[in-house]
Amino acid sequence: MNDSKNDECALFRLDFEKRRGEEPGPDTGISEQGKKHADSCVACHKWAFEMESLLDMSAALPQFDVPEALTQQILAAVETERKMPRMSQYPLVLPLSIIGAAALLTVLPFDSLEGMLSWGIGLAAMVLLKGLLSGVQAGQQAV
Amino acid sequence: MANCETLTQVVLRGFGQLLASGGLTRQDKEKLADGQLIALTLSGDARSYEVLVRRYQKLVYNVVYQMLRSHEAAADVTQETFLKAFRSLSTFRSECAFKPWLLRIATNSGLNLIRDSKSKEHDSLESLLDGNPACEPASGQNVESEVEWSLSHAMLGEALLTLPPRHRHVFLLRYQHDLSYAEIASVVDEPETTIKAQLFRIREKLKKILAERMRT
Ligand SMILES: [Zn+2]
Repeated sequence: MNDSKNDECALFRLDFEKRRGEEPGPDTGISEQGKKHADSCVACHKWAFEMESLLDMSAALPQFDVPEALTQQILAAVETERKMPRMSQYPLVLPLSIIGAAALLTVLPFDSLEGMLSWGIGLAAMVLLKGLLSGVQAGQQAV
Repeated sequence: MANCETLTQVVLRGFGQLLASGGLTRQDKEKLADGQLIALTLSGDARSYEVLVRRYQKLVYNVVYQMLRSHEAAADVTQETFLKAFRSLSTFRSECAFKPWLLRIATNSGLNLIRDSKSKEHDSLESLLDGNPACEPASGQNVESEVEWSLSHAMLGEALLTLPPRHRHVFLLRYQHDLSYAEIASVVDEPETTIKAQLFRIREKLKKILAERMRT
């Protein structure tokens, strides 16, 4: 007799678990069999009432609204991130430009026409490099 | 995960959507599904990400606040979450759900902050939560039978604070924010069966803690 009562209690609580524990969505209510058991079992009736109240109260816990200032802060941070140049799009151009500019600036001396020319080319490479970086940034802004 | 689209497919679809979207207003975009907004964002439409931010910022903020119990920290982690998500958007698979993916980033950021924090408040909270017997009701069954059950938000809030942050997090994801077991499993990176068993224990533990508080 006691065992069958325990089984009924276990089934009732399992039913509750399925109804309130497992998946989100509207509460489908206690089954007829469950209601019958809860009416006759003081322990399960009390247990279910307390559990319902705990879960209902949890669902109704107050939530904070996000201030618009924080939203704007998030959006500004994302925008800054979006505008950052992504050098991964230019895997070879940047290192080659730096190596080229460094070579031109260091290999030839400054006291000859070739030297002046190499410095000129080096400076031009630097200007191109700067333009390249600006272009990447502008490209990101345009997207 | 095997059914998830590849990044190339997502981007290509995004380009198509961008071309097709033409003059979509913000109101139009608010009606789009997460996956469509992500595809548009990946194809360069920043306004689509704003819609995603506005759609999920309250959820992220409140989930993180319950972990950290500080508005300042919650604001920082919320911002960090959306920034990290934006950076990693290209690795997101559009057939997968965005909400658990985002909450997973938020959860990891929040847990990192708790872990890294050397503040006295967090230290004492952690030590309090790591098995301090004083947090447990003296004798659950007897206590429960003696008290009249009358629950308030404040009482529940205090009881939740006595749970380990991870347990509080799982409980609130399920019962405050209505996530499914599968979604929670994805957020905290644990099997659904573990979540189910954890939630069962957490509910019973909370009930006992509350009964004890009602008695005193
Ligand atoms: Zn019973």
